[in-house]
Amino acid sequence: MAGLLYKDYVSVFRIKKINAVVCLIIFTVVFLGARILLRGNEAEVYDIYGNNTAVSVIDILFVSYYVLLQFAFAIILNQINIKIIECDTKNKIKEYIGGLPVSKNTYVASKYIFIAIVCYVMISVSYLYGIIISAYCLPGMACDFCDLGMANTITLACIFLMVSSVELPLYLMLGKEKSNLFKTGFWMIVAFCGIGLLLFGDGAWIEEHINLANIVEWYKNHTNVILILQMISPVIVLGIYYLSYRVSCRLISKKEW
Amino acid sequence: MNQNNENNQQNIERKRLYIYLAFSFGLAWALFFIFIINGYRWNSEDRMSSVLGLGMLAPLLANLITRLITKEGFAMTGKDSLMLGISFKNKKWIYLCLACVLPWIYFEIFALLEIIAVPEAFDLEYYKHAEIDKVLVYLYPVIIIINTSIVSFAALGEEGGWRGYMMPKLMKLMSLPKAIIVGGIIWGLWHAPLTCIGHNFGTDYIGFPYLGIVIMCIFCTVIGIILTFITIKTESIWPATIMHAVNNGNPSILRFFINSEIFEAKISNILIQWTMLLVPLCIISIVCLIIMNKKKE
Repeated sequence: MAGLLYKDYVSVFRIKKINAVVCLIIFTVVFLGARILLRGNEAEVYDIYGNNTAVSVIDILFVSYYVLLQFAFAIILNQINIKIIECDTKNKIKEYIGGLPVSKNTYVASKYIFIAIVCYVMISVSYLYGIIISAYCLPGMACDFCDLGMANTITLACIFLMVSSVELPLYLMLGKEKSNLFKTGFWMIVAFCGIGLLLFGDGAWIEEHINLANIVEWYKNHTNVILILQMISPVIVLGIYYLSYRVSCRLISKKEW
Repeated sequence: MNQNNENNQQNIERKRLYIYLAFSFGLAWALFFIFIINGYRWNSEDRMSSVLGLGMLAPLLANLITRLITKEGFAMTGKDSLMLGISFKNKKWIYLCLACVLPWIYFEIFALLEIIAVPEAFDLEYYKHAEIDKVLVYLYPVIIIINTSIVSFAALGEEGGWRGYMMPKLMKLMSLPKAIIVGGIIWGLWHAPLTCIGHNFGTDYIGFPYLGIVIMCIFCTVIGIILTFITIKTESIWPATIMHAVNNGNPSILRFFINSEIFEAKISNILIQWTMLLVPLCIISIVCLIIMNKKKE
C-alpha cells in the first residue's frame, strides 16, 4: 500500500523534476517566517469602517497569500482525480500491478486513501498558516478573513471529496478520455435542459418558486438546520466517499486489466 | 553472549530515546521560551496562545529527526515503524470508536461530579450564556468529535512522538507499568513551561507552579495509559491522535448547564477541579491497565 501511495504522490506532484508540494511548503514557510520577522511593523493601517475593521498593508500581503494557498489547494484537488488515473494509463501501471501480489481492491483503496491524505494535509497546512497569520494580524477584518479561510478549508475539502466520490469510479471504470466525454455530455444535457426550461417552461412557476428572495428568506428561517448540516457534513461526505470506494471495487472486480 | 547482545541492544535503544527526548524538549521548549522571554502569558482567548500550541508538533518532528540520525528508517507500519498506517480488521475499529467516544464519556462524568459537588450550580438555562442554540448544545460533543478529528494535526504532532516513538522505546527498556509512569512524567514535564505561564491551571492557585506541574504529570500518566492501550491494540497512532484531539476539545453537554460563577465561588481551586476530572480517567485507565497486563501474561 505504501508503495502505491508513493507512486501516486510522485505521479501527481512531480512536474518535470519539480516537486509541487515541496515548493508550496517552502513558499508557505518563507511567508510565515517573513510574517514573524515583520511583526510590529503594521504602521500603515487602512481604517475603513472604524477601529474594529482596521487592516494593515502587511496583513493584506499575508492574507493574500492565504487566498492563493487556498486556490492552489483547489487546483490540486481538482486535478488530482484525472492525474492519478492518467499517469497509471500512460505508464501501464495496471498491467504492471497485475503481475504483483496486489489485489484490485488494494489498488482502488490506494487511490481513495491518497486523496483523503491530500485533503488532510491541505486542511492541516491551511490551519497552520491561518493560526500563525491571524495571531500576528491586527484585530479586525484580516483576522476575520483568516477565520473564514480556516472554516472554509473543511468545506472545500468536503466538496472535493464529494467530487472525487463521483469522478473516481468513473475514471477507474472508463479511463480518462471516455470519462471526460461522459462528463462533457452530462453537463451539456444539463445545460440544454436549463435552456429548454427557460425557453419553453412555465415562466410564472419558475419566478414564483426559484426566487432569490425566497431562498434568502428560507436560509434566514432555517439557520440552525444549515449550521447542523454544515457541522455534520464531513461525516456524510466520508460516508458517501466510502460508498463510492465500495462501488469502485465492485466495478473494477468485473473489469479485465 | 546473548546477555551481552541484549545489553548492547538496550544501550542502543536508550541512546535513541535520549536523542529523541533532547530534540522533543529542545524544539518545544525553545519555542515556549522565546514566547515567555517576550512576555507572553497563556490566555486561551489570545490568538498568540494558538501559535504557542504549535509546540505540540515538536514530538513528531523529534521522532523524524531521531530516525534520520539513528537510521531507523521511516516505515509506516510494522515493528519499530512510525505507526501511521491504520487497519480496521480484527475488531480494531472498535478501539477507534472508543477513542472518539471515551473523552465524551469522562468529560460528562466529570461534569456530573461537579454537579454533585455543587448542586446549586446546575442551571438548565445557563447554556444561554454561551449564545448557542439548544439543539447545538446537544450536538456539541458530536460536532467536537467531527471537527477535532479532521483538524487533528497538532494532536498528531504529540502522539506521533510520545506514542509513536517514546512509549515503544520505554516498553523495550522496562516493564509496562514502569514505562507508563516514566512516560507520563516525561510528558507532564514537557508541558512545564506552559504550566508556568498559566496553561490549563492558570496562575492563581496554591503552590503555583509546582503543584500544577505535579498534577499535569499525574494527568499525563493517567491519560497516557488509555492512549498507550489504544495504540497497542490498534498498532496505529491515529486512534490515540483522535482521542487526544477530542480530549483537547472538551466535549460535554452537561458543562453548558453548570453555572461557572456559582461553581467557582464554592470550589475556586482549579487543582481540585482537575482532581475531579482524574476520577473517571483513573477508573478507565485502571481497566485498560488490567487488560494490558492480562494480555502480557
